[in-house]
Amino acid sequence: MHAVVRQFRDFFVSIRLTVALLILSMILVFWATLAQVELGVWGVQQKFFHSFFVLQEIPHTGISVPAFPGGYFIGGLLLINLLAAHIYRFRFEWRKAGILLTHAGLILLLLGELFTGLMSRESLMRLNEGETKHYSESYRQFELAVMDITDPKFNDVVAIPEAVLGDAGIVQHPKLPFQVRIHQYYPNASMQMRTQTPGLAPPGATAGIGPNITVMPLALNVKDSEGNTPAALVEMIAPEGTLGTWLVSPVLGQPQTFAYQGRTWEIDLRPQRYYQPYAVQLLKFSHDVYAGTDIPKNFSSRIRLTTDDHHEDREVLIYMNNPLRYAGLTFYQAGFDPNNDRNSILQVVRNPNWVMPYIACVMMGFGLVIQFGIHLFGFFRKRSAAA
Amino acid sequence: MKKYLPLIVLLLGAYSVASNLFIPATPAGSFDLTAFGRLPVLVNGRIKPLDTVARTSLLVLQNRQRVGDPASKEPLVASPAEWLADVLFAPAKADNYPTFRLSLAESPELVTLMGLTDKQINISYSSAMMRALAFADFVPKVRSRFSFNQIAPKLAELDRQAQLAEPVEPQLRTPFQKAVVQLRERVMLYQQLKHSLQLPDSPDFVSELGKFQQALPAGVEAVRARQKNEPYNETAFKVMIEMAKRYEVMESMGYLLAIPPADNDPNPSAWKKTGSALLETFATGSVNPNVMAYALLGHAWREKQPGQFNEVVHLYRDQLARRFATPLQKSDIETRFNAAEPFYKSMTLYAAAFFLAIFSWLKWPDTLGRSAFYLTLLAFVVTTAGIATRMWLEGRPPVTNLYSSALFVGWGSVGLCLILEKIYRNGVGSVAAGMIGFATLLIAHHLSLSGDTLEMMRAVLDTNLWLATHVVVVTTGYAATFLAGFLAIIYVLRGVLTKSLEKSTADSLARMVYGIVCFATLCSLVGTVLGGIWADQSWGRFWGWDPKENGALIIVIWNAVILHCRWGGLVRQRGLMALAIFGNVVTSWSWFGVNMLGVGLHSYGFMDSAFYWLVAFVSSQLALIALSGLPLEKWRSFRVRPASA
Amino acid sequence: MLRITTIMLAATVLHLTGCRDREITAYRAPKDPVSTPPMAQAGMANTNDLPPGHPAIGPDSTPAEPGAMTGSVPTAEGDALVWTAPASWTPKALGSMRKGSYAIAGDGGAAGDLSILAFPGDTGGLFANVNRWRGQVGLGPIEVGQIEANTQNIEANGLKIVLVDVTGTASGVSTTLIGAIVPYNGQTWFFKLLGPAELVAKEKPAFREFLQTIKPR
Repeated sequence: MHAVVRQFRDFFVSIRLTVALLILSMILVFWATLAQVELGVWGVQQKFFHSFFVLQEIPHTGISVPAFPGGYFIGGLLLINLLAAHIYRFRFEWRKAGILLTHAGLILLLLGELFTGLMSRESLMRLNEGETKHYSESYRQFELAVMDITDPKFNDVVAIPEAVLGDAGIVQHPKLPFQVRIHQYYPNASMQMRTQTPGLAPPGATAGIGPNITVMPLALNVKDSEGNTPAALVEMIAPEGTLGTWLVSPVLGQPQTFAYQGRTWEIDLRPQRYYQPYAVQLLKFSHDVYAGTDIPKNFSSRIRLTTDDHHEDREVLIYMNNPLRYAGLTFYQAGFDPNNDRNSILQVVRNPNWVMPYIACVMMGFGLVIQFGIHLFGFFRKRSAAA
Repeated sequence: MKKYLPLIVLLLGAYSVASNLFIPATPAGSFDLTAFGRLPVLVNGRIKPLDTVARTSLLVLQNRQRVGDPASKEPLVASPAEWLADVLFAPAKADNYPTFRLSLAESPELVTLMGLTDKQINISYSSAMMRALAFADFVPKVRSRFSFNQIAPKLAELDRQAQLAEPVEPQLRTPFQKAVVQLRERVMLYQQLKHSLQLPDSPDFVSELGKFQQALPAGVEAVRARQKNEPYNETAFKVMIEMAKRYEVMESMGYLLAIPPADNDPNPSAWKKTGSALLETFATGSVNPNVMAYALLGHAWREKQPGQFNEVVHLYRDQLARRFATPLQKSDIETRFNAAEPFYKSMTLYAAAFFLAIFSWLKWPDTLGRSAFYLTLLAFVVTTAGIATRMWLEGRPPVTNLYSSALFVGWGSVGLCLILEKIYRNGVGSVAAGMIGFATLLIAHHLSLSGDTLEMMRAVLDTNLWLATHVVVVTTGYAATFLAGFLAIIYVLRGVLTKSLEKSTADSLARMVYGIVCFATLCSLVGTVLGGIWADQSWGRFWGWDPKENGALIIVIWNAVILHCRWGGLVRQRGLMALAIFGNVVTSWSWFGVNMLGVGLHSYGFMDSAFYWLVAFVSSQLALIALSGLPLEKWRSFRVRPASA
Repeated sequence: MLRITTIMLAATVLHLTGCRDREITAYRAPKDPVSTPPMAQAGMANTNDLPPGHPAIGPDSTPAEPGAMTGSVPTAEGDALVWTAPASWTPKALGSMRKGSYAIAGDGGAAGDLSILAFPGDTGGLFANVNRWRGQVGLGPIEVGQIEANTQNIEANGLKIVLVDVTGTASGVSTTLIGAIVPYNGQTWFFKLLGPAELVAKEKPAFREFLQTIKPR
C-alpha cells in the first residue's frame, strides 16, 4: 500500500481522532450553550449544529470567517471515524459485542438526528374554543399568499415563500392572471399610522391600507421569545397595466382584497401555513392550577378531528405527555394564551423519523450494560481467584 | 477498648440521631406548641403543618431557624412554632424579634437606606472573653438581623426603591436593587403572615368577631333595604361597610389558606384564607367556626392561658380529623421529620466519618477504618430515611427540584462509596463518602433558603414515570461522575503530599476510578437518552439543544473521552486521574452552571454568590489537575520507588 | 469509497432541502369558518381608509412565538390583572404590548376594537392620558382644572379605576372612545374601547360590567 494512502487510512481509523473529535464536540456544545443567551435556541442550532463551520464575524469588519468546526463537520467525521475503525479492525468477538452494539446505536442516533434535522417540521396550531382549522402555522417562516377567494367553498392559493420575496424580483405563476412584483421586502419592520408621524416621504403603496402607513425597517431579531414581523411592498401587474401596489404585513392582521376580471382576490403576508386534509376543532380547553398558586397543574384540549372525506370524525383529548398521533403528524399540548383561558396552542410535528432514536437508545443502553457487565464479571472473578 | 471503638462510635452517632426523633411530651400547664405546629394549612398548593410554615418562613426571612440576638446566648423563642404563634397572634411582640436578614457585608447601601444606627448594628458583648473573640473576628462584631420595628420607619422608602427596581429584569439588577427587592419580599411575607389568622391592629380579635356576629342581622337588613331604596339604619349599614373593608384587607393580605373547606364542599383542596371566610359571613349569616377557633387560640396565647390554648388546638384537630385524616397524618409525620433534622444530623456524621477515615491512614487503619465505615453507613441510612420520607410526603420519585437533586447526588455517591469500601476496605470509600456527603448536604442547605423544598410540579414535569426513570438515572450519572473525580483527588493529594500511596493502593484507586467512570457513562448516557424520549413524548422533539440537555450531553461525552483515552492507551494512571478530576468541572457546570445561564454572563452574573462558588470550585479542580501533572519525582509517594504511572 | 458516498448522499439531501425553501406552491385550501369579525364589505379595494374596525396600526406586532417552546408555559410576567370578557366579544391575536385584544361586532358591519395595554410607571399622569385619548377622536386638550369634570372614578375588586368617555370624529366618522385607566403595582393598565359612536353607545353597559370583572391575578 502506498505510504500516503496508509497515512490517510491510519488517520481516519485512529482512536486519537475519536478523542479529538469528542473533545471538539464538547467544546462546541459548551460554546453553543453559552451563545444561547444571545442567539436563542434556534439561532444556535443554525450557527453551531446545522453547519459545517461556525462562522464568526471579525469585529467591526462584517467579514465572517470559519472559527470552529460545526456540528455537521464533527458529526460527519465522527461517523466516518467510527465506520472506518470498525471496518478496518473488524473481528467479531463476544468480548466486544457490547462495544459493537453501542457504536452501532450511536451511528443510528447520529444518522437519525441528521435525517430529523432535514425532514422534520414543527409548527403551531392556535385555536380558540369553537374554532376550526385545517392548517398549522410555521414558527418563523412567512409567505405571501395570493388567493382567489371567489368560490364560497375554497380558496385557490399561490404561496410565495420568504426566500423568494427576499430577492425582490417578479413572480409569474401559471395560476395567477397577473404578475407579482416585489418592490421591497423587510424581514423585520414596525409600522405606524401616517397621521401619527407627519412629514414623511410619500408612501410606496397606492392601494389597500398601505398609503396610510409608514414602515420602519428593524434589525432582524434572532431571539426565540421575540418574533420578527416582516413587511413587503408588492405590485400586481396585469397585461393591461398595474392594479396597484400594496403594503403587506402580518401586523395588518387581516388580508386585503381587490377585484380583477370579475374575481375577488386576497393578498396576505402571513406565517407559512401547512394544510392537512382534515380539520381540527377545539371543543374545550381546560387548565388547572394548584390551590392558592399560579403553578399550572395540568392543561388539556378536547378536540374534534374531522377528515375531509368524512370517513373519520372523532373527539380526542390531548394533554401533557399524551399527544395525538395522526396521519404522520403528532399534536402536542404546547401551551396556552395567558390572557385568554379559552385559547389553546398545539405543537404540530411531522417527523417521519421519530422511531430511529428509540431503536438507537435501546441498542446503546444494552451495549453498555453488556460491556460493563463483562468488565464487572471479570473483575469479581479475578478477585475471588486472588482471594 | 480499641476493639470496641467502632461500636462505641456507632452508638454515639445513633444516639445523636435518635435524640431529636422523639419529641418530649409537653409538661402540664404549658403551651402545647408541638400540637399547634402540627395543625395543617394549605400553602403553595400543598397541605403542610404550621411547623413547616414557621421553619421555611424563618429560612426565607433570615436564612436560619433560630430566632435570637448574637449578644445573648439564649434564643428569644424556644422553637420556630413559638415564633410563628407570636407572629400570628401577638404581632406586637414578634415585631421586636430580629428576623430580617440585612447584611452590612452584602449590601451596605441597604443598611443605610433602612436608617439603622451604629448602636443597632454593633454588638456589645457583656463578657470580656466574647469581646476579645469579637476583636479577633472569631465571633461577629455587627448584627446582620434586625426587627420589624427597627426597619419600620423606612418602609415607605424601601417601597419606593423597590418600585424603581422591580421593572428592571432580575438578571440586570444591581446588587443594591436585588437586595432592595429581596428585603421587600421578606417584609411582604412577614406582613402576610401577620394578616393570616387575625388583623394585627385588632386589640382582641375574638371580641371583634363577637361584635361582628351580633351586628350582622341588623347590618344585613340595612344593606338590603338600601339596595331597594327603602329607609335603612345608617349606623348598622356603616358598621357593615367598615367590617367588610377590614376583612377585604385580610383577604388580600393573608398568606395561609388556613380555613378548611366546608363539609358540603366536594373539593378537598378548596381551603380558604381567613379573610375570604369572613367575607362569606355576609352570605351565611354566621362566623365560620374554624375562624373562631383560630381567634380563640390567639386570645389564649396573648392572655397566657395554656389550658385553654391546648384545649382549642385539640378540639380543632379532632373536628378536622373527620374529613382530613390522611393530611393530618402526613402533617404529623412532616413535623416529626422537621424536628429530626435528618440531613443536618447526617452532615455531622459525614464530617466525623471523613476525619476518622483520614486518621485511619495514619494510625489504627483497621479500627478507625471500621468506625468510619459504620458512621458512613449510619449517615447513609439516615439520609435514605429522610429522602424516603420526602418521597412519601410528596408522592413523587426522589428528584423533583434542584434541592432534591443535591440530596440524591450525595446519597448516590455515598451508596457507591459504601460498596467500594466493602470491597477494598482501605478507607478510601469512607473519605470520599464523608467529603461528598458533607458537601452535597451543605449545598442542599443553601438551596433550602429560598423556601419550602417540597414544591408542586409544573404541568409539563408532572409525570412520575419519567421523573422516576430519566431524572433518577441522570442524577445517578452526576453522582458517579463526581465520585470518580473525588477518588481521583484522593489519589493526587495522597500521592503528592504524603508517602501513604503505595503501589497497591494506587492500583486499586485506579481500578475504582475506572469502574466508576464506566458506571457513570452508562447512567449518564441512558439517562440523557431517556430524557430525549420524554421530550419526544411531551413535545415531539427528541433533542432540542436546550441548556439542560446540553449539560447532560457534555457529561456523556466527557465520560466517553475518558474511556476512549484509556482504551486507546493515550493515558495511564495519572492521566486517568486528571481526566476524572476534570469530570468534576464538567458535572458541576452541568448541574449548576446551566441554571445560571438565564443570568447570562452579564455583569451581574459574577456578583451572584452561587456563581462565585462555582468559579472557586472549578479553579480548585484545575489546580488539582495541574498538581497531578507534576513530574513523578515531586510526588512524595513515588519519589523513592517510581510506580508505573 | 463508503465515505465519499456518504458525503455525496448528505450533499444531495442538503441540496434538495435548500430548494424546498424557495418553492412557490399552489394549492386549494378549504375555507375554515372565520372566527375573527368578517370584513366589513367586499368592495373596499383601492380605498385609502382603514376598514372600519381595523385594529390600529402601531408599534404592535404579530403574535410572537409563545415562549421558548420547550414545553414551558408562557405566563405573563410579574403581577398582572385578569378579566372576563363577554362572550360576544371576539378575542384577537395579541401584539407584543397588548395584554388583551377583542373585536366587537355591531350592526351593518360596524366594528369596535377593545385593547388592553400595560405600561410601567404612570405614563405622564392622568392629565396627559386624557388629552392623548381626546386627541385620538379629534378633540382638543382640556385644562388641568377640567379633569374632574371629564373623568369618573369607579372601583372594582379593590382597584381604583378612572373612566374617560369622549366622542368626536376620527377619519370623518363619529367615533367614541371609552377607556379605563387602572394603576396597579407600579404599572398603568389601559382598557380602551374605540369604535363608531353608535356601536360604542350600545356596548357601554357591557363594557362597564366588564370593568367590574378586572382583578389582580
